[in-house]
Amino acid sequence: MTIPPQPPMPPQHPQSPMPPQPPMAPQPRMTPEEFRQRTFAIEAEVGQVIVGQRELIRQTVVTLLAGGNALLEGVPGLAKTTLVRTLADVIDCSFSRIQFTPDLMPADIVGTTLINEDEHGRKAFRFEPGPIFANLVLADEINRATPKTQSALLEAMQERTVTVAKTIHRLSTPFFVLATQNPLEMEGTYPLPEAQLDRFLFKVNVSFPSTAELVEIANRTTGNRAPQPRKVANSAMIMEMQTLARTVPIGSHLLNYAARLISATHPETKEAPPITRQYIRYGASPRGMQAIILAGKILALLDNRYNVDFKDLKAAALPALRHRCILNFEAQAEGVSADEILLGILEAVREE
Amino acid sequence: MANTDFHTIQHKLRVLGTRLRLSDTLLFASRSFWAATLCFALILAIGRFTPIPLLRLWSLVPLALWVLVVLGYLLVRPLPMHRIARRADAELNLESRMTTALELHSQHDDSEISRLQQADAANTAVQLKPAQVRLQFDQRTALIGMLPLAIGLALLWLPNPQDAIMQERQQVQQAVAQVAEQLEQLREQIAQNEQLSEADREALEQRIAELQEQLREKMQSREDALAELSQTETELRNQLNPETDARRAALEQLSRNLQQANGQTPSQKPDLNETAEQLERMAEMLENMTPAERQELAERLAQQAAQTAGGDQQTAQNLSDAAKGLQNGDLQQALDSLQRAADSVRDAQRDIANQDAVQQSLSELQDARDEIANAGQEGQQGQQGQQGQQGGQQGQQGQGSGGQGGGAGSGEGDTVFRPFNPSGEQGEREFVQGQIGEDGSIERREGESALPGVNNPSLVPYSEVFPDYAQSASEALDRGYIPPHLKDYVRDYFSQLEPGAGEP
Repeated sequence: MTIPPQPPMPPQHPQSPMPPQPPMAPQPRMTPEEFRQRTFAIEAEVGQVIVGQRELIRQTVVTLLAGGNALLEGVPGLAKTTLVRTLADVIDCSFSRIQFTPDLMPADIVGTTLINEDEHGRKAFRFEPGPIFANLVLADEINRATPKTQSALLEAMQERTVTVAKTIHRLSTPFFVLATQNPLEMEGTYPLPEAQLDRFLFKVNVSFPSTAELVEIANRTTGNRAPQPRKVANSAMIMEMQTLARTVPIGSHLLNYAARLISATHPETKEAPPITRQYIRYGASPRGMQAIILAGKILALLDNRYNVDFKDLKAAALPALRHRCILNFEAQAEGVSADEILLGILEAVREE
Repeated sequence: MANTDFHTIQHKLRVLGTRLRLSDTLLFASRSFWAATLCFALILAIGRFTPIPLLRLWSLVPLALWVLVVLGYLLVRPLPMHRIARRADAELNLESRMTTALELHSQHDDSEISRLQQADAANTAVQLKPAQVRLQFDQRTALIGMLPLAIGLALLWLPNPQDAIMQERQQVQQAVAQVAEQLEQLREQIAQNEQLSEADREALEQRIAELQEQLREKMQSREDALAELSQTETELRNQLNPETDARRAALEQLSRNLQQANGQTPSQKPDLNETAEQLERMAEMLENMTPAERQELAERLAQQAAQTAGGDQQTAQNLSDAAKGLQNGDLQQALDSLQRAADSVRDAQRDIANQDAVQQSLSELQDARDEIANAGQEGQQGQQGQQGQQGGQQGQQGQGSGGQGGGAGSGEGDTVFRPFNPSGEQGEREFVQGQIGEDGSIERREGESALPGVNNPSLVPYSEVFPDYAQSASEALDRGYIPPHLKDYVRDYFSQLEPGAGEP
């Protein structure tokens, strides 16, 4: 049995306004400047392939550097698969793609144990890893598989391990799942339950490109020259970057702000603004707060700062919370989106 | 964190803190200004409907308090360092650098990224200038506050009808204080009056002392003071005996008759004690008198008894008994009756003295009541008197005392006709140069000019005449010759006749 390495989690320290560093936490060898340059390089290389979609690229990279998983929602043909494939190429990591269908079984994802006969005629069980054993996994149209199959993937996402025949197999690091779902054609789909949506660090809305971007897409993809992105990082660097991101200091008032933000998404709390009470049935979990803070730290480094600011938390709030807030019937009936409600909450929660 | 970085941040934040406090104070002042000016205007507005002592001073109190609060806000309790850092981060868009740096320093975090963060914060702090903190001023609210200020200043500038009431009140208080002093003097006079019986003196002193106490307690109100004076006046008036004047006149006449009978010059104001002594001496002389003298005395006593009967029944009865005793040859009866008559006269003397004291007190109270009632209205009276003087000069020049009714005043330079001497004293002897007769003798006519004649054309300056009349009136008032309900009229009349009365 192998145990996957746990990400360094700051211990709870009620007396201290800031989470102190873990005593045995590994000190990152990478400098913040290198972090920034490396990230920009990754974005630039991906940007050579993906036209436009700056926010999509930024949020995907942030999810990768935070050690989380992303759920991409958009209509087909918006380069979601291309994004993950390109990203895998740029960071020199293994990549696998799983197309979720109703008849997809968990063993199709995690792998299975086969009876294998060696040259001496002896038979033995041999584990055949599934596509989940890659650094970057694209779970395409995840909502088309049955909940049983979805659960197999989501367990791997959370535990970073796979259990087959009482054997725990550790997944490779870095491990990054990018799931997609189509907001259209909901017929015959199995929407992800709230508890499983909570496993995704970000939910990224993939918008349709503008006309100019469409023209650029046409130029790049219909010619005889395909862009070749360079490898500007590797898995070790990504791990270093993930370690460094967690060391970015954050002020107690910012932690307090993030907590108040999460409380404000719950309609039953006294901090909840009117828009929450009107449209939200259930608010974000503590994982939402962790997502905001982690993403905020990365955004701060990318902004050439060594500390988190309110604007980092605000920038991370929409992708981190939009799938964690369960809207009520009134919101659905009026066509109010989670983003609109979250913007209202961000406006209502004071920075002080 | 290098201490240098922290000290740089701390120093800069202190400077910014001063600027932030100034900005906060300006904002607070501009937002709270309306409250002070509103109170200022409200107090002045209330002061136009109800008299408020020291109104202008009170109206400035809200403004002074506002200034004190603003100064206190500026100087007391400077901003703590972490709060300055938060404010600086927010207002100067420092992206939480200062706050995070201070927290990292307090945690003694010496990780690499912590050092980088604090160095970054220090570099940012070095470039900060206090002038970057914009001084905040709520112009709209401050302008709103200017409106009540303008109203208040206008109210301050416009004449306040309550000022006259306040002035009148002040004069009433002064008058009440003056009256209290006069009452004290009156009380001392009564205490020194030996003609009064002990009980009467104590009763009067006690009543005046009570009145003084009441006046001290009710110095603020003219109405209360007047009510108290009127009540005391009524009580004293009830003590007056309306027959006292007649009794006094009868006994004084008796005294004069006795003086005349003894060959003395009749006194204008005889002493009743002497009268009693004369009666006693008369009783002692009875034994030595001849029957004819006794008969003559009996007749005189009977005559005196008849004259005195209208004023003092008791004395008249004793005199009559004495006369009868003499006529009947009962010497002892005559002697006893004369002795009783002497005692009766002494009793009358005490009663009259008491009545005089009561009358004097009553007169003082009436004067006090007039002073308090007229306090604060002198300006109006002065104007009226001036108008009257002008009317008198136009309509009645050279007509004496200034006429009646509206034309009351008289100038000091006027001369008037003086028909008689109001004091009742006989005039000075005048000698008129006679004509030389045929025999060379000079005819000399000696006369008295108590009644100078109808056609006497001599005119006397008004200012010389008035004191005699006023003195006479004052004595008449003191002696009770004037009925109490008419005394006010007499006083008012002479007040209006006073030389210079009504002149500004």
